[in-house]
Amino acid sequence: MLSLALRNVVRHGRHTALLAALFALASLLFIAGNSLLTHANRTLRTLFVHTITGDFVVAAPSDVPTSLFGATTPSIGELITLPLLSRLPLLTAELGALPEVERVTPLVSGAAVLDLPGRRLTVPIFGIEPAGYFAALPGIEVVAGRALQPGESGIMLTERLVRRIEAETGRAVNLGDELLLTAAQGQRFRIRSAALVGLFRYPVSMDFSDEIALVDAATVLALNEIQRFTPETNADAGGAAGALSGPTTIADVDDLFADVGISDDAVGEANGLTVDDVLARVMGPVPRPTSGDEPVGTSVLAPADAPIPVDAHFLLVRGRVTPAVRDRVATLGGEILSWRQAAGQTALLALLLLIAFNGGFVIFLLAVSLAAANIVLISTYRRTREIATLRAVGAELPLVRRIFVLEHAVIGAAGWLLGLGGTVVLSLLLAHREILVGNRLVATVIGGHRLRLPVDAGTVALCLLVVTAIAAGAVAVPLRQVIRKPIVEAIRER
Amino acid sequence: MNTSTADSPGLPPVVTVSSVHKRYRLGERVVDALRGVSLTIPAGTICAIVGPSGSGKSTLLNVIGLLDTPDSGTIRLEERDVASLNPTEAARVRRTRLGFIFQDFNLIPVLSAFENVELPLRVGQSAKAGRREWVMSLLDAVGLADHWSHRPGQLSGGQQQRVAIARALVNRPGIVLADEPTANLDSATGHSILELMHRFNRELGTTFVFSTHDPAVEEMARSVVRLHDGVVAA
Ligand SMILES: Nc1ncnc2c1ncn2[C@@H]1O[C@H](COP(=O)(O)OP(=O)(O)OP(=O)(O)O)[C@@H](O)[C@H]1O
Ligand SMILES: [Mg+2]
Repeated sequence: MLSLALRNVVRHGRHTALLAALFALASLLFIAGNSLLTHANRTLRTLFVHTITGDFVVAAPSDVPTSLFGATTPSIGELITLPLLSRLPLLTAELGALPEVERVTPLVSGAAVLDLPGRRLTVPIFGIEPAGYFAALPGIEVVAGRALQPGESGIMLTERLVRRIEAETGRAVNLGDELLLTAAQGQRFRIRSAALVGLFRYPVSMDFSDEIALVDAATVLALNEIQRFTPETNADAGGAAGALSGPTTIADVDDLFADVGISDDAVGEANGLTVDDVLARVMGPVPRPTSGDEPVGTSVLAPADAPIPVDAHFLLVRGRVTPAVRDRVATLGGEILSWRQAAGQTALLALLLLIAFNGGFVIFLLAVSLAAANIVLISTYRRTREIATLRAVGAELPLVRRIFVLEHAVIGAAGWLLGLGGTVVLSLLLAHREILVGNRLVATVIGGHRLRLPVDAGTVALCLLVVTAIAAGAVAVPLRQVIRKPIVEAIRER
Repeated sequence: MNTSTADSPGLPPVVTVSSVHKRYRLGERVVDALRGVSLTIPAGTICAIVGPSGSGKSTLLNVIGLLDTPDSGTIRLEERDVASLNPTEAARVRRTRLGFIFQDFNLIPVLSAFENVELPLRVGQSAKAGRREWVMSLLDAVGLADHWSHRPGQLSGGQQQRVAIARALVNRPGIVLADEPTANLDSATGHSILELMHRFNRELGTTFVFSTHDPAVEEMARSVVRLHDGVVAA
């Protein structure tokens, strides 16, 4: 039977070629497109999980969809105030104790205007607890200077950002430089300074991630504290700063006064500066609490021995989400965000693209199916007499059906093989010849500027399944019609 | 009851047709193609079914050959009532006990002469041993051994019909049914086809039943059934 089918495939050369070409095209698009997006998705996942989000994130419940970069939609600079996790120390301790959780580390999210020599730019800032953060996110590579130390105030920037700014301004950015961070919100703003302790690099460079600044959590909390500012806490905070932070605080205060002009510019860009703003700035020197310090504007005490900030927007978690984890998080007033939600727009975009591509592909497959069905319909009707002859000489119907289905499945598989071959050639071509994607968005979504096409085995297998199914399905319907005809009538047809 | 019995006494009939009716409907129009046909065809004969156009020759051959079913009446092939056969069994009977030769040959165009002859063996998934030799010996018998690899399109009408005869015989059937096997051929070629039937009838004992318009061809049959308006004429 197989030989009968194969013989028909070969003998009906033109029909075979036409159908196979159709299926080859479909396979090529299917395999290449899906491989590309699967690759992008995997790259993104690896990148985010190991360097930015962890496996999942615990956040305070919020009405607006949030990511580590703030609310999902607003552009940086008009950051919506994120809710804080109300029971952070308890969450940290309890989650950390669960067997499915490997690591937990807090994150304070913010955005600030960063002053580099000769350049001022708005960057997303992550307030971190260094020991836990770098352990949870091993993908971050420190390439110059050193990582932030627990309890230390400081800032880390990406190597790429620093090199780019240096190239643009012609001025060096040196380790140890005190850099100014200005956060503004509404009519209020706050300035902190922090020393540049090191440069880091993400394994895959994406434009948006180049700008992330890693800062000690206390500094970011302080920058964020604007809205919770009250004279009372201010007085407390000021006292604490003076008492506990020593020379750092003094330098900080000096900076504040010295940089009023700069800050004016910085804030003036976003919103007009008022007397209130200046007053608030002058009156609000917020300390950088070290571990165990009574922090600013918080009601929760940190465990004495844990160098974690007592306030944070997020907990980054390495581990698996299980019902137990979900349960713990919910009881302690948190909400679980997937790495994808936490990653914000970029990862969502990649997902959307994947969905859109697959949605589009469903339509494309429908079109291919229709085209195939039409070609097969005509060819099958043309073979009405052949089928009747087969039946007249004693072929049983199941055999006739099997021959035709097999025949078309073989054609589908041949098309698939051609398409796979085409994809492999394309993939090798891209591996040898560097094709760069200029578009930032596309580059981010495909996980880098260099266009690559690693052929995904799962997609290849799925494609074979889909294409042979379409091919076999395309012949099933017309064949049923043809078989239904009485042999005596069918055998007379031209 | 009109019964026309051919000669060769002593042998049991291979085909027994009793009171077979077949009516066709074409929209409003009703055609009674067979109106109570009864006949027996003894084993080992060469039987011609003759009659004017529209008399029901093809219809009769089709119901005997299990390509069509009668509305009433019974048909027995080699003593077996075919009404009891399900489609799979009918296909098996067609494949193993019956051979068909058609007016316009009905060879499969993409297959070679050899493959066309071999086809009934393949669809029956019969044993491969000796198959090639048997097919070649049949092609040799119909004088086409040299043309075994030719496609139908590369053969003349007479050659194609000879391939069809070889195909009809490949399963060693008891009965070969041929509906106007010579109608598309010139008289000399038609004559040679009938001679082949005689030869296989002699050598293999195959019963041949064919329909024809042609008196010259009719003469080559050993028994004749005359149809007129769907009944057997006396
Ligand atoms: N499928 C059909 N549908 C409707 N009428 C049919 C069909 N087949 C045959 N007939 C009618 O049945 C009658 C007998 O037809 P049949 O083909 O058996 O005659 P025939 O003797 O073979 O004629 P011919 O010598 O022209 O081949 C004719 O009137 C024909 O029109
Ligand atoms: Mg006829």
